Amino acid sequence: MTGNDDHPGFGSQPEALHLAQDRRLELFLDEMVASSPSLPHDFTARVMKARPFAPWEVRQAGSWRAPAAIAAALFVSSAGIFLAPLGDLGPATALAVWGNVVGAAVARPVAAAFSAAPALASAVEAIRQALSPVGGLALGGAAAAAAGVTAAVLRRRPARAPR
Amino acid sequence: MPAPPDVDDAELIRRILAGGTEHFETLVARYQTRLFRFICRYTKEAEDARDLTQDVFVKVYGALDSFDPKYRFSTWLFRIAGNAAIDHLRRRRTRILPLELPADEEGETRSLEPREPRPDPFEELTRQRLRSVIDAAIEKLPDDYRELISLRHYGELPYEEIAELKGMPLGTVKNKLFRARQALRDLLPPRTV
Repeated sequence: MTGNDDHPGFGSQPEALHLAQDRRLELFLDEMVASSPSLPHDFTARVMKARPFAPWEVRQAGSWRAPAAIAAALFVSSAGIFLAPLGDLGPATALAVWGNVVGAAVARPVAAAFSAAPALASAVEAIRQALSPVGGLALGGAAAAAAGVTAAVLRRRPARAPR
Repeated sequence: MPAPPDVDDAELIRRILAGGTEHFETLVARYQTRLFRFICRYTKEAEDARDLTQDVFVKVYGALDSFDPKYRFSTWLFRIAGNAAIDHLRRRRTRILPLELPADEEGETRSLEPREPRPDPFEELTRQRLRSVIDAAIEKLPDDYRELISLRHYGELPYEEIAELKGMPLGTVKNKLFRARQALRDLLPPRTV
């Protein structure tokens, strides 16, 4: 409500009647506004739910808890793999086992991609033979459009601060 | 846990930025009604105003780190809301809704019914008419008067905050608001107030 605030003072003092009328209009406006449509009861909860991950949240320690926990779990698992055979098989074997595990984790996906390359090439060739020229053009056009959209999305500037 | 109601806006923002994002709830609860009514003045449609109010809060949350604590949060919030409302009006196309739904299988038209029955339809109707009379009168005011009336009576901002928001001396704001209400009174049908 705004009608209870002190009334403004003026350079040229309006008449008492005008002031009284103004006060009445203020109260009337406040009453009208108060009876206008309202927000749903769960509006605050809706806003809280609709909040995106804000850029400034990256700087908060709390935001890094989950990634840090995952990284720690990976590290501990890795250390566990290294330490498990240490007692029975000796440090050299433990190191070798750990090296193999880490090597496989890193290299296998790359190796898999390389081994898939010939299969991918033959698949592309099969598609090319099966497609009509019109189908080929349509597919090429769709691929170009998808590439364009992806480039546009990647080049999009970060959201500006509200004006 | 939400902050106690006596914690000021700047302190709440400091807490939010320090990791207490749940305090944003207190800020929303503090301003949501005033902001909604202020936006409603622009959109004229409550549904649009609800969506826009939510959008403004979401925008504000995303940009909270750019808030300058030298100024009041309310002036920043209402400035963003004013700009968002104007953008919304620019984007909005005229939407015409039929008062009657398409005919059903038996060829009879069905009227739209209000979702919730009002306790006193006559009183509600009177208020609605009065509101539309006032809205129409406010629409006829010059832009600067209309904005000041919206900020003061719909956004419920104190004179000082309006002065800060508009970059005007306090006396000018008071004077202009008095003249705006005078102009509004002249536009209302006799004996409305």
